[in-house]
Amino acid sequence: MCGTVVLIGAVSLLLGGTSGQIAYVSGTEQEDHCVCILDLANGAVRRIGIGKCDGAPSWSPDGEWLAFTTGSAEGLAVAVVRADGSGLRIVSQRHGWNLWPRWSPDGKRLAYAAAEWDAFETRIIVCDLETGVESEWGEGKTGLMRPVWLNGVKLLYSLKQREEALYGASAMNDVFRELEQLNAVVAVGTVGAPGAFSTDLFIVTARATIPLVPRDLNTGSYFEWIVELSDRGSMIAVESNDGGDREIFVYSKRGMADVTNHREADWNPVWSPDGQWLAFESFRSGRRGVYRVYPETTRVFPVAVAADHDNWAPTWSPDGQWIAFVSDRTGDPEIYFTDASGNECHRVTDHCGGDYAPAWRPEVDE
Amino acid sequence: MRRSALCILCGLMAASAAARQPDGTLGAVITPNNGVPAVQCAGGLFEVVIADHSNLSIHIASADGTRHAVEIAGRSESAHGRTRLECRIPPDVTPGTYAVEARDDARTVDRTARAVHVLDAFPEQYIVAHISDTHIGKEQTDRPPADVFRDVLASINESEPAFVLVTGDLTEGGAIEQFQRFLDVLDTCQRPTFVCPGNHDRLAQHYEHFFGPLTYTFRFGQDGYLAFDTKDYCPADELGRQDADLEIARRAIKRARWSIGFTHRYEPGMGMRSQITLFVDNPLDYLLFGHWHRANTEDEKTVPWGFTRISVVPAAFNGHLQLIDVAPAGIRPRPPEKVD
Repeated sequence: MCGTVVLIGAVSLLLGGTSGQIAYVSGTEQEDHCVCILDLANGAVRRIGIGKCDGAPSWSPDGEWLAFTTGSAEGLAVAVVRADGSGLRIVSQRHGWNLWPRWSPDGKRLAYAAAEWDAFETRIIVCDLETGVESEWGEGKTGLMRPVWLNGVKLLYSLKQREEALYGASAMNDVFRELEQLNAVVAVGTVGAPGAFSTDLFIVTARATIPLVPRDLNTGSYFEWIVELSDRGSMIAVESNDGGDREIFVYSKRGMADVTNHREADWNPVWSPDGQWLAFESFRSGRRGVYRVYPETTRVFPVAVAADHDNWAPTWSPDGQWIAFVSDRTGDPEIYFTDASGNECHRVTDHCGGDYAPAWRPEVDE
Repeated sequence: MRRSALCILCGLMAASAAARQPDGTLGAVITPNNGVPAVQCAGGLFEVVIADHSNLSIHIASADGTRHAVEIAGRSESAHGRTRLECRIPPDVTPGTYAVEARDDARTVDRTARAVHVLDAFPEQYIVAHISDTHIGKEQTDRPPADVFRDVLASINESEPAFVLVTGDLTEGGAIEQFQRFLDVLDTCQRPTFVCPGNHDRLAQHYEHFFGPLTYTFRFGQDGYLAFDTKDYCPADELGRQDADLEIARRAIKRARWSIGFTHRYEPGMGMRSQITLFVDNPLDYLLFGHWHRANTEDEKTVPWGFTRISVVPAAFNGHLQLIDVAPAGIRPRPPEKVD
């Protein structure tokens, strides 16, 4: 796949006028990594980050702002900046280490994991961007990581009904009251004790942390990691080593299904904007490649796969027609994009060093 | 007679041909080298990575200048510009330590000492020597770290381990001159020496020019060893450059009797993807590292996820080393020793 590569020169011509912007991290060493924005219409690159260990950027739902982690005297801070480079500010103040910022559906808050140093003491912090106030969510539960906001309650209702049918009660009753007022995040959380840690998924609200998965499935025996909610909140994709190797599972009202079943590792699921497809990374062809799967049928299609280099970090264009990703086919990691079938591949960065973590800007209402 | 003398002279000239580049950095042959050597039995295969796509012949040469051409059983060129050669050690060479030479026609274009070690057979039970934090170039120490390092290696030579792992902070500041001094002492070791970088080595950008890959594996008989770099974890986890190398390296030694990782440091805050790969999905049996400048305590016997046991060796610049017994029954680190 992705056999024909065209180095971008005049991207808009190659794409028949398709435009858009991709945020990414660029730098030679970690210490000089900086968030940049590439304009696909003319190839122009604008450095808008702080340029000091900047991490993967995340767009606000309206495409106006970017959140990213950046190096600070204490560790890592969360920063936000407008797409035009204005309004840059650090929003995390309470803790030294701040990781994985994610925007609320209304774009008014950021959730992230924070700790002073100990990796197993991370808590979920929600920052109100209008007031700058940081609140700790989860009622003191530590070991919470990678929060993602719930986009709706349909799936939770299904899980709640299932729990009530099985056990006559559900721990989720409290969650629904808070959902109407404050929303909630789903986070990966450690379970067990040091020396035998595992992880599970939790719903975290301002006042509670409860397991997401119905009790009979929540064994604590497996290690869940990246979790992503579909745009409408009706499905959750999560990677887990349930089954013996790392796979991507999808929770829906019909239950849980392994949608990438393969003996080699599958990880980093990313929903398409319409919630119909998942892009992910897999080692099923030897090196790491980008694939997509249609969860309804679990049919997998290669997108960017090669025998002698890696392709990773997929991100969908707002119309779901294109997938951008990182490839090190020339030695340095650079940003490429391709149509979803992998037939038409374009290189869009050419930087001596590395370009990583592409995030395609959502469509902006002008 | 004159012809014999000429042959000997030619052999000596070849043996003394520039090892590495004049500044000590690697030349045409990236691996194997004296920090990432090949250890194999006569007739066995080993991999040679050439810096470009040139068509070189590969030889191994003993200390007395005797040169053996190796059969190239396979060749592949990477998109990154390098060439991988699958080479077979001649079945009739005697066990011992060899330099690897790359030759273009009759001219030696690169030579790296102590790069290939030929064994009679891989033992089922053997000793690994583990040292870390040599900090060559560090000032304000009781003795120059290079002198202490030399004494530590002399002690290791007497212990006759199968090989030596040197887990990072080889140098104090990563300077070329410090790596040169490190190599000078390293080559006094009579056993294969495998190195990985530490945070001090990354203060400049020279480590890879001296030793090549940051992530690599090797097999020693039934056992698999995996070296990896542990520089700044958090950004690395987000950007994912090392993730695939670790996954593939872990897979390469998945079926080993024992799988043993070695790196400079381990902290629970390192990239979670790396930890999932090495300690959760396919957990290593053991992880060996340094950085702490002290041994691990009873409370620090495993990584937090369980499964993988850890062993930490105190700093070599203070004279410390550790021997580890590897046997069918298990892996047993002995208490660290101190060389006075």
